[in-house]
Amino acid sequence: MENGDLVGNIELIRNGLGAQSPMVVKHFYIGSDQPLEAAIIYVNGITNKDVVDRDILNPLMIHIPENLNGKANIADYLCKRYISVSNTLVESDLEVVINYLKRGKTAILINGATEIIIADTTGSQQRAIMEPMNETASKGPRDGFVENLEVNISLVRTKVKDKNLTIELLNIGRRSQNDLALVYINDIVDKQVLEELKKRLEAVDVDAVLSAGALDQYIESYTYTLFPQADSTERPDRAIGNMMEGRILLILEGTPMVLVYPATFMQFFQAVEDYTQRTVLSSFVRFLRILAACIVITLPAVYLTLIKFNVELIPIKFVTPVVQSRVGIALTPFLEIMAMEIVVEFLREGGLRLPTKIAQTLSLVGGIIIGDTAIQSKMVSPTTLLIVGITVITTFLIPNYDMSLSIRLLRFPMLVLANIMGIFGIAVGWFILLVHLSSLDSLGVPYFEFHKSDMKDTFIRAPLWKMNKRPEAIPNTNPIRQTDFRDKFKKKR
Amino acid sequence: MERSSNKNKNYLTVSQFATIIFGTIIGTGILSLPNGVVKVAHQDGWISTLIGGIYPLYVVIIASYIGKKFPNDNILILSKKYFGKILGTIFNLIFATYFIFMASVIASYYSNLMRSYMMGFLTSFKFLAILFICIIYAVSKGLKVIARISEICFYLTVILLITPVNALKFSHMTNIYPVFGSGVSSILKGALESTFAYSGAEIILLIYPFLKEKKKILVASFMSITIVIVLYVWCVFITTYYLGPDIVNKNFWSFLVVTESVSVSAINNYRYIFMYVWSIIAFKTISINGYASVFILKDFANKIQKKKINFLMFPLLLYLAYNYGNEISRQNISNNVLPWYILFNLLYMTSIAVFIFLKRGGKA
Repeated sequence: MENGDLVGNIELIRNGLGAQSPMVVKHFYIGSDQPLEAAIIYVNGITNKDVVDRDILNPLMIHIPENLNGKANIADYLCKRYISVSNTLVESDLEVVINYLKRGKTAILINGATEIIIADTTGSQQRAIMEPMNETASKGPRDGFVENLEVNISLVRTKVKDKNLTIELLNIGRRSQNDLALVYINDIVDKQVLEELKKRLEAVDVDAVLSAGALDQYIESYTYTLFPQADSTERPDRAIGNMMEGRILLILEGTPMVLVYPATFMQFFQAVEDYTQRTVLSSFVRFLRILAACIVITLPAVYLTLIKFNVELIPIKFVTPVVQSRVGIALTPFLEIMAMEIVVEFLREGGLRLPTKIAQTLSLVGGIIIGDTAIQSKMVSPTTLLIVGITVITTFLIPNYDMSLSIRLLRFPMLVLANIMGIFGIAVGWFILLVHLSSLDSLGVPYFEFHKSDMKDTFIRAPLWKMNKRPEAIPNTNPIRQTDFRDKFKKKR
Repeated sequence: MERSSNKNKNYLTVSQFATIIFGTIIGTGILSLPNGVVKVAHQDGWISTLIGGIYPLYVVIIASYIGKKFPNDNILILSKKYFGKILGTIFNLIFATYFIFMASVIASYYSNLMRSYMMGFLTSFKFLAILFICIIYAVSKGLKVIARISEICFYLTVILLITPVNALKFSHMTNIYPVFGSGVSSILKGALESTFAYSGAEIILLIYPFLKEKKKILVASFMSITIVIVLYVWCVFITTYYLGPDIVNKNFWSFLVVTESVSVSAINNYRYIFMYVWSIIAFKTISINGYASVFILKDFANKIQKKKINFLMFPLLLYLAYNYGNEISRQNISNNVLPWYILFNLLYMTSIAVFIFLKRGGKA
C-alpha cells in the first residue's frame, strides 16, 4: 500500500475483489478530541457479523478515550489495545489483504496509516459434523468431514497431536481459487511421493476444481484404467489411519471427500471395522470380500462356460434341473445373462438418485415384478437369475464404492471373452487383468505389488499388536510404528 | 531402512528375482515331465529328476560367478567383450532364438493340451493368436510387471502342485519298488531326459543386473532352483506312485491324470480347475521367455525400432508355434532341437565364465 489515503485504498480493494462483489464498507471515527477517520471492509455472507459488531466496531467506536492523532504504529497499537479478536495481524500488501477478505476476514483501514489490520471473523454457514452416510461403521467414531476446510483440518488436528503433523496450504483453480490442504506426517512421508504430488497439483490449471473426484482425475497418471487411483474417504479416523501408514491426505475446500495418496489396490478391500473388530472376525470378513470380488468378475462367465461349452462338468444331479429350466428359452445363454446383468445395472443406476419414497417403487417393480415375470415369460431361466442375483449381492461387499463399480464393470468383458473362448477366455481375461493391475502406479508407487511383510494386513488382518512395521507397499521414511509392547505384561512360558 | 518410491522402480526385489527364475523353469512342461523320464528310468524316474537338477544348479553357479565379477553387465555385453563384436553378436542372437524357441514351443504345447481337453471348438491358429496377444501385452509392460505376475504365480504353482497329495491314498507301493531297480545307466539316461525340463534357468544371466541386492544372486537363485527340483521330483514321484511306470506313458500329460484323483464336490472334475489356473502359469512362463527374447533383440535395434520389436515378435511367435503342429510333431521338434540349445547354452556361459577367470588371472 503506497499511502494512507482511505478512499483511494477502498477503491483499490474494491477493484481487487471485483466491482460486483458484495463488499461491505463502513466508515467510522476512532479516538476522542480529533477523531481519525477509519473504515472496515468485509465480504458479505462469509463473515460472522456478530464478531464484527461486538469485538471490532464496539471497542473502536465507543471505547477509545484517547487522542490517536500522530500515534506511531497505530495499527499495531489498536490491535494490542482495543480489538478483542484473538486472531489479528497487520498487513501492508494489498494483494494479501484481498486474499484474506475473500476468505471471510475483516480489514480495518485507518486514514493516514499505510498498514491494514486483518481480523479473523470467518463464519459462513456450514453443515454440522455428522456421521457420513456412505461410510458407516458399527464400531467407531461418528464424526465425518464437512465442506469447510478449517473444520476438516481441525478434525485431523484434534486426533493427531504429533508435532510432525504438517499442513501445507495450496491454492487451486483459476477462478474458483479453492484452498487445498496437504496433510501428512513429516517424518513418515516419503519426500519423493510428496514432491510428485505437489508438482502435479501445482501444474493443474483449470477454471474451477469443484470436487475431490475431479481433482483426482486432473492429477492421476492413467486416464483410461478402470481402477480408482486415489482412495477417498469422509471418515477422519480412516484418513488418519492411512496417514499413519505414510500416505498424504489432500483436503479440498468445499467437499467432504478427502483424497488419500498414494493408493494401492488392496487398500480398497480394507474397511474401518477391520481394525475395530476382533482379529479372527476381521480376517474372515476380509477373506469374504476378496472372494466376493472374484465371484463378481468370474461367476457369470464361468456359468456361461458351463452351460455353453462344458456341460459335462456340471455335477450329474444338477444337470437335470439346469437343463429342464432352460427348456423353451429363446435367448442364447450369453444374451440371457447379458440382458439380466444390464437390467440390474439399470435398476442400480436408476435407484441411485431417486428419493427414498420412489426408490421403494423401483425396487418393488425391479426386484419382484421383473424377476418373476422374466422367468414366467421364458426370457431367462431361474438358474441364470440366481447367478445374476448372487453376483449383484456380492458387489456390495466391496467396501469402496469406486472399486465396487470398477469391479462390477469387469464382468462384462469377462462375459464376452467367455462367450467366445470358454474357460480359456476367462484365463485370458484374468491374465490381462493381472498384467494391467501390475503395470499401474500411483504417484510412482506400485499399485498392485505384494510384499511378504505386508501380508499381515492384506488377505487377513493379523492382531494389531503384531503390526510393528508400516506397510512396505507405501514408501515411508520411518518403518517402525510400534514395538513388541505386549512382552512387558505377557508371561513367557 | 529407508524405502523410497523411485529407488525401487527399476529394480527387482529378491523374491521377484527368485520367482522369475522359478517361473521360467516351471511352465507347462511339468505336466508331461514324468513321461519322458519314466520311459527311460521306469520306477526310478524321480531319482533321475533329482540328478537332472544338476544342470540348473550349474547354471546358477556360473551365473552367480559372472554376476559377482560384473554385477552391472549382463551376458550380452560380456559376450561382446570376450568373443569380439561379430562373434559375440552372433552368439547373442542364438541366445535370443533360444528364448523365442522356448516361448513358441511352450505356447504350442499349451495350445495342444488345452484344445485336446476342453477347447476343441477353437482352431489352433485362433487359440495361439489370442494367446500371443496377451503375451505381447505383458511383454510390452516390462520386466517389473512380469516380475509381479511371477510372484503371484509362484504361490499358485506351489499350491496347485501340492493338491494331488490326495493321490497318495490311492497309490500302491509296488509302483515305486524296487528303488534303483532299473539300473544306474537307465537312471542317468533319465537324468539327461529331465535336464531338458530344467531349461530356463539361463534367464538369470540376463536379469541379474536388475537385482537390487547383488549379494543375494546366489542365495535367491539357489533357493528357487531347490524349490523347482523338489517340486519336479514330487511330480514325477507322485505320478509314478499313483499310476505305475507302465501307465504313465499312456497319456501325453500324465501329471494331469494324477490331478483327477482330487475330487471337489461342486464340480465334476478337479482337472478342469487345475487346467484353468494352470493357464495363467503357462501365460506367465511364455511371457518371461517372450520378454527375454525381446530384451536380447532390443540390444540389436536402434531407438526407433525398439518399440516395434514387440509387434514384430507377434507374427514370428505365432508362425513358429502354429507350425509345430500337433503334439507328436511338436515333441519331435522339441526333442531334436532342445538338446542343441542346451549344449550351446552350456558352452556359451561356461566359456564366458572361463574367459572372466583367465582375464582376471592375467591381470593379477
